[in-house]
Amino acid sequence: MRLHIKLLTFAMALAVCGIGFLLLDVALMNMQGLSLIFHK
Amino acid sequence: MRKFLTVVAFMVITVALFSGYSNYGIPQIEPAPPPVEEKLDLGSMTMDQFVALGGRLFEGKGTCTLCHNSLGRAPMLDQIGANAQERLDDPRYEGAAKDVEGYLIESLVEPSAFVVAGFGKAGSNDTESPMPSTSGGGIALSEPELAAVIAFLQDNGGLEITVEIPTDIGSETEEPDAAGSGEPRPAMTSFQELSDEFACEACHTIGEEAGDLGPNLSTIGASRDRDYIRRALLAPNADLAEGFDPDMMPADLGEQLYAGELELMVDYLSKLK
Amino acid sequence: MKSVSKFGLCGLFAILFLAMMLVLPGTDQFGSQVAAQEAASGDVAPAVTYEPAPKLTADDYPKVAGVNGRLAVWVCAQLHLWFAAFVLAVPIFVFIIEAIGIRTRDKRYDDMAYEFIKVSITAYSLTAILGGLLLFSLILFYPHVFTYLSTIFSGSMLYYALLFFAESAALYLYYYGWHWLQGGLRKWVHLTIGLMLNAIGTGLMLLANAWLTFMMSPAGVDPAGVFSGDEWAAIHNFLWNPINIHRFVANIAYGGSIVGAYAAFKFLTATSHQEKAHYDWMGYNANFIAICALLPLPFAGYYLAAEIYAYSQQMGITLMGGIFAWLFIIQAVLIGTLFLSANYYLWCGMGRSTGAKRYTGYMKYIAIVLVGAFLVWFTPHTLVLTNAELKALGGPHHSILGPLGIMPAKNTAVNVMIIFTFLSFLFYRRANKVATVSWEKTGNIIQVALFSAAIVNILFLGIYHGYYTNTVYKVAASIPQVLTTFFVIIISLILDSFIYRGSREIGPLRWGKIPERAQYALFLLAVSFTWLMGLMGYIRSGIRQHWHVVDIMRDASPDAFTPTLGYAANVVSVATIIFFVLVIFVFWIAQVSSSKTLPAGYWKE
Repeated sequence: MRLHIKLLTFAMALAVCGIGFLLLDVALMNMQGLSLIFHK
Repeated sequence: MRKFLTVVAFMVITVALFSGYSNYGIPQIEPAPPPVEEKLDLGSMTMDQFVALGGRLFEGKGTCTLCHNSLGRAPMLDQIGANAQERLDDPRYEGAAKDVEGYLIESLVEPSAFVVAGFGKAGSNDTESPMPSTSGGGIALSEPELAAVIAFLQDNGGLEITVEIPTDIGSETEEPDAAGSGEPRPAMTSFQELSDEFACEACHTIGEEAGDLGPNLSTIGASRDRDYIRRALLAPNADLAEGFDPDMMPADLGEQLYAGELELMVDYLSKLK
Repeated sequence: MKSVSKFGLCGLFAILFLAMMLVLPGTDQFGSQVAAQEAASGDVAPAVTYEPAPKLTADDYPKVAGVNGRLAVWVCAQLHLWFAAFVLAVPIFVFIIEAIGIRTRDKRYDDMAYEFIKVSITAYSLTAILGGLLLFSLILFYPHVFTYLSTIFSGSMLYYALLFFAESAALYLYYYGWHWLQGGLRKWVHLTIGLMLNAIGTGLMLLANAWLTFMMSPAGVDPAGVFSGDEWAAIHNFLWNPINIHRFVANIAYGGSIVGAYAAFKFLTATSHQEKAHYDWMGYNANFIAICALLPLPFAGYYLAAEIYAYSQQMGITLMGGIFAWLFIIQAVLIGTLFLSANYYLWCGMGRSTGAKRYTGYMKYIAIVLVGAFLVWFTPHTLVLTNAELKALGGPHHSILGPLGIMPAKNTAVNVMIIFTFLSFLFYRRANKVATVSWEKTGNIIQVALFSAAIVNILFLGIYHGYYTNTVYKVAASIPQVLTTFFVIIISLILDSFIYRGSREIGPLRWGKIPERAQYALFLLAVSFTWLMGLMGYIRSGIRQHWHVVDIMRDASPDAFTPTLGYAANVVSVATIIFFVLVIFVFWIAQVSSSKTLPAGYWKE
């Protein structure tokens, strides 16, 4: 594999994972994911 | 055998290292001894000394500074002079206190009576305070000690000190009450006790006791919710049951009952179905 | 296939753990409401009248032959708990290993499971003896405490005794019936007995946990300590489930570490190569179990601490910011030791495979990250001690180290530590394999991206929410952090299993080819675990301060004071040494039972 393909794959995967994690964060922080677990 | 001894030595050295670190690697703090009842010589105390006693209780036995400090776990109390009146005027305020002193006592004894916005237990929407009652349980300030803390808070908050140094030294109760003015009495813990004290069953039918001046409460929980019952106890004329006259029921139960007792009555009545 | 099912179990375990975290608090709250209502209604017409908790004086504590009562109860309770944890944990993973054996039909698993349970059988009787000793010393030195607790828990104490008989029966059947119940249906019967053994053992632990959590967060009693008559309310008190989860997970990790030490010792003293290979393999599996359970443990602990805060802010502050705060610094050292020794063992274990050379270069970077994360964790917490100390320090935070001392930094550190430990493990798994799928490189790049994104996300959550938002978010941010870590582990394992589908093994794993010093990592793991458990047990009990039952029954004995940390550490150290003396005895007995002496000319021919 050539370098730029490698970099492109990496960037795309990073973007996908990053967006995924960001969605997870937003969902949990806004849906009061905390109060589900720490109810008090 | 040599290997066995090596392993044993290795283990002992490991334990010794952990132990050594705990002894010499971190500061050795001598934890404060368990709190003892302070012998109060109230008779010969000046107000300044009384305030100073309150200050000691505030930092020591009362454990107030654990939370009421600059870390923001609980409201700061140095501005209490200005804040207390504001809180009494707050539309959210539903407690029984009429003046600043009453508010302070209520906040000490029944912290959930009013929770300053943003300081409630998480998820309780500021209806429940994380603070324990200072009169009972783990802190157990006595009646004179509570008065001393109030004196300290008033002094510290730039208020005029309105509490008086209690003179009744001998009768320190184990579970002091002080939900306002009037004679101190121990809190009651059952509905029956409360009903006997306030003579509910002189007018109401509750279970077997029969009175007919007020509505029958034997199945009140089936038709009314807790809020209704609480309101009916605190402001009897607010909603009148059909066929009954206003002003029959004492309107000052809110002043006479401790918050815990009120809730106990609400609990009990709302479960009568 | 073997490893896939192992990871399946590991993942399942993680999911179960999360599900428990989500579900249990709700029921907990419900339980406490019920308890409050029961308490209120119970007062109206109590069937039996109960006395309030006695108010004790110093004279209520018998002085027996100059023995320090607190010390006696402390050491007995601790030793009992260590053995009990070991004895409860071993059947859990023996059951799992036996099931793996049934599935893979690889007899090595069955033999190893048998050897594990053999070790625990002598420990079982020691557990009972120490439990009796604890009971005896409690009655002797704290008669009123015991009387008060036994009026409340009379029912569950009876069930405890009955369950104990059932536990013994199941354990003996499971152990002695091992070779008898082999093959086909019999094997399933045996596995079912193992399941029952675990169910009963867990039941025993839950009951004992109820008693001790009642002392921390009493329920089913009124403020004067008058029992409402509802024992379930007292059992199902606020901290019961948090402790249950924490102990269940910790026991497995602990059991794994002790068995690992057993295997390590057998490895060191093994004479034949075959024996060495066997015990190397056993040690590896024990370490694997310990690490699997160790990974979720910080979260279980964090959950417990949060629940303690929720129950009583005062108790929470005593725990995390008050006199016990420095204990968490010691804890950090211990947990750092655990992680580092577990990683070290994995790195050494890579010598078993020739293909490991490809990965050894990365190890030093993992080591650097681990040490860095460890140092962050190690940085002292907000120390709110007394007002005098507050003034001396010029504020609750150290000016430079303060920002690293708060919880978000520690959460971040522990998540990073777990991810890198997992990375070590991933390398270890890959060491002996060569992927054959065409998209191997792409897969690897995706893996790297996954790890990078996760680490960035964890750092972002820790830094942004930890320092630039309010307190609620500071705490809340730990949840997505934890989930990020879990997602990385799960997604990465799935991805890895696809990349290495149909992979070629470089050579057979050379079990037994591991340096001797790696075995010392296993000993270090066992000793650190034991000592750490002792320390944390002390904290759990110590945060009650001068109360037998918090806010209800005061400790009026001369020993009601909280000792200094050094003193506590010394007690834990001595207890640890006693424990290991007993453990060595147990191991030795297990060995003796299988050796025979044939005295010539002694018996009549």
